[in-house]
Amino acid sequence: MRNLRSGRMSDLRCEEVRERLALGEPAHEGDLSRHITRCEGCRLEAERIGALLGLLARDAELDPPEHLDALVRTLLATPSLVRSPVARPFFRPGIAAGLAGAGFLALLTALAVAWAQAGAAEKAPLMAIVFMLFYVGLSMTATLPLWFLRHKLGLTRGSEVWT
Amino acid sequence: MTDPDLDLARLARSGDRKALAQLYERYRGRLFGYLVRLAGDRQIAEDVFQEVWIKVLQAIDRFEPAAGSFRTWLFRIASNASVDRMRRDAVRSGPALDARVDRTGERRIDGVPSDLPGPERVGEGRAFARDLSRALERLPEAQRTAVLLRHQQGLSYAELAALLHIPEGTAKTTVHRGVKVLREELAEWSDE
Repeated sequence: MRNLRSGRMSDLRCEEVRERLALGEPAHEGDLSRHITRCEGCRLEAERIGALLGLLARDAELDPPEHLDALVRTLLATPSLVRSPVARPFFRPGIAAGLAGAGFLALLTALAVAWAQAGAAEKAPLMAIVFMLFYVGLSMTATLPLWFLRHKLGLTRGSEVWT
Repeated sequence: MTDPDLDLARLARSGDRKALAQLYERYRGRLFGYLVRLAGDRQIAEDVFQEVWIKVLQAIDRFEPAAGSFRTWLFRIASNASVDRMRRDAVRSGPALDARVDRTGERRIDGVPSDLPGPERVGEGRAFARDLSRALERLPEAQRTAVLLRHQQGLSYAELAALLHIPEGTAKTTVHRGVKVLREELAEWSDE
């Protein structure tokens, strides 16, 4: 046994004992128990921390109010009531815009090649296709930003889970 | 031996609503008890409780059993949702040293029912519980969360570390600091 005033007893320092008690180690086991039975200060501290941890552990389980319980049970039994971000289609605006852009460029390239190789009589239908593509491209350019804004403004807001 | 939670979570992940209902049954009391203590306000706890289960419902198919237990996952969602809510409330109500305590020092809603055993000590026990609730509210979020998860919900330090994304040693230090502050704040009770 070592001098009490130095804060040491056996192989444990009082500080270490109190730290281990605060971490939740049981006071009645092993070297903690041996120290505590000989050290009045640590015995009192063990009682105080024990009371504190005992109170913290109280109410570990509380019944939610009935109305809340019923509401959550209903939600869980009816998942369609809650919009799941995972259930959204894989098709996303960014991917859609990328694919549409790539397809559009591929078509323009093919048309340019065809134009270069075509005779005068064949250029009229090619011009018609170019105009058609121009209008399709124009409508997509107008639609995709609107789709994106709608997506950002409300449909998925708050549906992501921070885990 | 397999973890029944994991079996249920796997079933729930594949769309089994009964399995999800069973998980709810297993955790509803513990989760609500945790949230009441963490928020220090029963109304907030009720709001967050509902929010947590909606998030569980939305995200259960992304739950990864290999990344940790269902309990860890659930309490992480709950902790984050609760902290988010308290921060939102703090922003709305403006700067406050103690958002849940009014000028007279009384809590707006004292939602933590607790006392020490014995009818003769009920009043004393309630007062101690009230002071404990106040002391908990004054703890930094990380310490409050860690102390409650460890000492109220009985999570291991390994689980705590996984939940908070911190090393196990840091989890222990956080809990130790939190308990030490509580111990000091409640010193007048133990000195009687």
